[in-house]
Amino acid sequence: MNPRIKILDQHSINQIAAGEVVERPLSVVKELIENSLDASARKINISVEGRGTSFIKIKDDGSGIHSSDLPLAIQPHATSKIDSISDLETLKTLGFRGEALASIVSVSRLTILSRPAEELSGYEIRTEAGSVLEIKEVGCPPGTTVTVRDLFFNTPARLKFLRSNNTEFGLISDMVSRLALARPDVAFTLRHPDKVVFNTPGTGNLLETIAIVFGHETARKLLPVNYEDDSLQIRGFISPPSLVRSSLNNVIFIVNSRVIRSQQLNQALKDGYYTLIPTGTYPLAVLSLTMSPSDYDVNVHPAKLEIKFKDEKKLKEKITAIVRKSLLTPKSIQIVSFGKQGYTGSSGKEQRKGLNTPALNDNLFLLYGCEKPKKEDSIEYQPLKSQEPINLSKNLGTVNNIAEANYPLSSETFSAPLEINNREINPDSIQHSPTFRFEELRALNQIFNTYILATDEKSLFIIDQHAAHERIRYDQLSKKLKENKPTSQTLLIPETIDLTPQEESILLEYFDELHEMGFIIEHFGEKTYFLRGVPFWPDLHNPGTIFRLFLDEILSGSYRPTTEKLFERWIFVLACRTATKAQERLTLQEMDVLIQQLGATLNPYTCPHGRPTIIEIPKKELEKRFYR
Amino acid sequence: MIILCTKEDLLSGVNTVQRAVSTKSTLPILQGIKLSATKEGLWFEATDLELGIRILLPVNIQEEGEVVLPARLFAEVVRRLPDSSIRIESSGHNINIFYNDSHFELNGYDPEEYPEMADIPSGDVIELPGPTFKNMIKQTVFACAVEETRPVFTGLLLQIEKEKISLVSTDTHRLAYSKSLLNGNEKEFSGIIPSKTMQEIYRLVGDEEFLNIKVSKSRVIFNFNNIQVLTRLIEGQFPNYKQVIPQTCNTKLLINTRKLLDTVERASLLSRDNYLKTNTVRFNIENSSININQYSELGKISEQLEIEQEGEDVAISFNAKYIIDLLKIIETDKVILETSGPYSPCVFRPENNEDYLCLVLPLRN
Repeated sequence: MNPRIKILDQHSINQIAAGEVVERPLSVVKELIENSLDASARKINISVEGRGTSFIKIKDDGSGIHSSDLPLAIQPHATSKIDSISDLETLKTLGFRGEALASIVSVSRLTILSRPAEELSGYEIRTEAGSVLEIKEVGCPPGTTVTVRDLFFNTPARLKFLRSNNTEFGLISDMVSRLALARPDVAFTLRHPDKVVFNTPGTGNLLETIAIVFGHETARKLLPVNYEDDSLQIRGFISPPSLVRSSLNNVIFIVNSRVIRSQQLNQALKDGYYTLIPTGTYPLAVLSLTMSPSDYDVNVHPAKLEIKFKDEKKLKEKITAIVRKSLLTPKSIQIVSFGKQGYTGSSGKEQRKGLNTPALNDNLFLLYGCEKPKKEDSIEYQPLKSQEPINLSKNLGTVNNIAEANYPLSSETFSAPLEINNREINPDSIQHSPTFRFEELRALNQIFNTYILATDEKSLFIIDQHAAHERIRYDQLSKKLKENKPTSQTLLIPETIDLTPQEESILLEYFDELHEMGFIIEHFGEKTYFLRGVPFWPDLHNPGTIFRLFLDEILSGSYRPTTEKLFERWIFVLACRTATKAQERLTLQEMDVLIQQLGATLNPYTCPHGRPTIIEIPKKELEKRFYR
Repeated sequence: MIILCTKEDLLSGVNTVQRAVSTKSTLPILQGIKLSATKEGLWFEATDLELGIRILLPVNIQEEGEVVLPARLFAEVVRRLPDSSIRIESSGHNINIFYNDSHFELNGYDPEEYPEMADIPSGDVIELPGPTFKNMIKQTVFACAVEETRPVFTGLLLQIEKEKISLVSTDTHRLAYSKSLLNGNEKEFSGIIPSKTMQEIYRLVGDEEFLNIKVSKSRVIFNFNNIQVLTRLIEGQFPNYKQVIPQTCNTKLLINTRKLLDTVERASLLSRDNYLKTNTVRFNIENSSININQYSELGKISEQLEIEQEGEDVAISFNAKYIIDLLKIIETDKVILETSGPYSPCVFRPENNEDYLCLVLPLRN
């Protein structure tokens, strides 16, 4: 009998390891640049063709590889960076596993050309799918050039999962710009394939590098962050509260020159901005942390994108406090108060009759503000102590479960379930409940001029009239928005927009669709574009933000957001503003119409902000309570 | 502080400065009105640090002194005072208002904490003709932007070049420009003044012959009558508006202002109640007439307006609100419309008046 368990051959092992480290062309670029940085390069040139599968070249002026080390360099677990695992405590280099090069070699045709400065000539090694084809002496400048051709040629499955040229290259340029931000002292040049996408000066000035990546206009507005204590140093820049994005794409954390991802640090940053920026928006930040390598562990993620901090809680608290402090510098205060000032200045109340000034019905501040559930809501929605939270999406907020909780006659019984506050109810997942039909509901009366009582003779229903009407208006508006032929308002003075290379590639990919939505965009030069026309929706102030939102949505989700999604917040406000308010007296007829209209909406059970519109108390439940 | 005055005195002081009172609560004392009894008379003062307004009232000062009173409450009290003689006495930060045989005690803020109006301009004095300047504000202020994304557009560009004065405003969808003569002026100034300030100037300037302004780098002070308005200038570069005003056109129309306004207002009724409130109006210009054919779920309108036409036929769409806004400003019987096609900026001017124009950018569909 053949043995069923066997040890894999080295080639298979390498390919499996490659699967972890070399996920897509972006990983190759990242690993190779990190090698160059570890070799103390001052200048790194990156050339990429297409999406990076056909050709990637990284050329540096670093310390080079000695000819005798060359064959070893492409072996797995071969590294010059550490001697044993205990060296991680003092690790100064970005790499240490000795895995990257071996992994890349196993899935591509790779050539290394290298010459240490002290040697007279360099050596070239050519490999294919892990085997060495040739090593020869060649003339070359000091430093190392790695050329990767035909990436994934022997792993077609991987190739299939790659996205379009624009997406893959967008990811690469995003990664390179992050690395450039981590090392402002190194000059990075990214070419695609011959066009220079960007070029950082390498002067060591972080703000200059930020200006290249985010645009000069943006860089000018940023606030500096400077902090130092005996175990931690933080340097970098954050955006003032007036400058926000709708995703976390522009938040970059760097720990000892290593770009990392960290939910925890993101949260700490957001906490620093708490109440200063609207919910659902995020700041821009480039924060470089310097700390002892013994204070964290990098060996937790295959691509070392995440690291584990020893004292995460304390670090978070520090970052929040530092961010808060930097935001409260005079520069940022001025910008904050400035914004608000102007807003009150032109609000409806201040408007003078004969002057015909435009009233600010809503702007984005209000836009975000209006839909935000009030902080106090959390008090109302406290669950009962001994009660399991009810899943609203399934039970429609019935009080069945409450009764089962054996809590017969409490005055708190009807408090709404916890889920409401979490706002995680996915409208799509909610199905019309089979237990009742809206057509059968009959309005009984209105209480507190806010809630409608209704019945279908099987249950008692309580409907929040404002939430219900909001839902109805929201549906009507969304429908209209879809039907409406988009119109552009042309602009007298175009709005200039600086884009990152990745944003630019998205813009080019979706150019036609943006045009159809009503954006008239013109290339101005470099990565600067002119917005010459914007979608014409009255009361939609700041349409440039919608354009940004479009880019950010694609950046974070990689799919095209629907028009409805982009204008969602705007629809929210309009729906909210035109809906019947609480504290409004309704006749029985009006209530019946409202209920029927609610029943006709796509998701009658929650308002657009995720609060419930209707609560059901079944007859059985009432009977139980009265011990019948 | 002891003063003798009337309800009218107090009302005029409060009404003048009230709009400069801060509506934010970050610095509570800014929600107050400062009263300073000096030898000159009684000063009322309010500021939100961007805009400051002061007025001097000639009332009988028995004893000098300063108080800062919560603006809203003080205004409400003043409005409800009887028309008798009034005596106000301060004790510490508080005041006592005596009327008839009664008195009303109000707690105030510490006047020491009230911010001084900083950087009061001491530069050149420029004299402006009051009624003309007021009219220029009316002609331009409506086109300011309300959103704060690009602050320069929330203000009006005031340019004084020797004997010429001009005001320009734009929200990038439209632009209003008004100019006038400044006889005998030798001085120059250029700065962006917040639209709120301009609205206040418009409200407060009476039929005074002249108001004078003094400027510094970051502020301007307007003096007229017994009132001073001190305002911050908006920082930044106002775009070169001269560049965007077209010098030539392919179509030139002369239209009855009143009739066009009525037509556009009627047409926009149709979009008033539609859900998205996309208030567009489309002018089909051909054979010396403007035809408007609009419909929505509410109904349909079809209008024809006789005009004088020179040049090409054209069909062009606008945000109806912009057209209504500007036609309301134009006082001449006829308005000139100049355009070079459906996508180029469209110029509206009063007939026989080179001093005013309003530019509207069309909609493209």
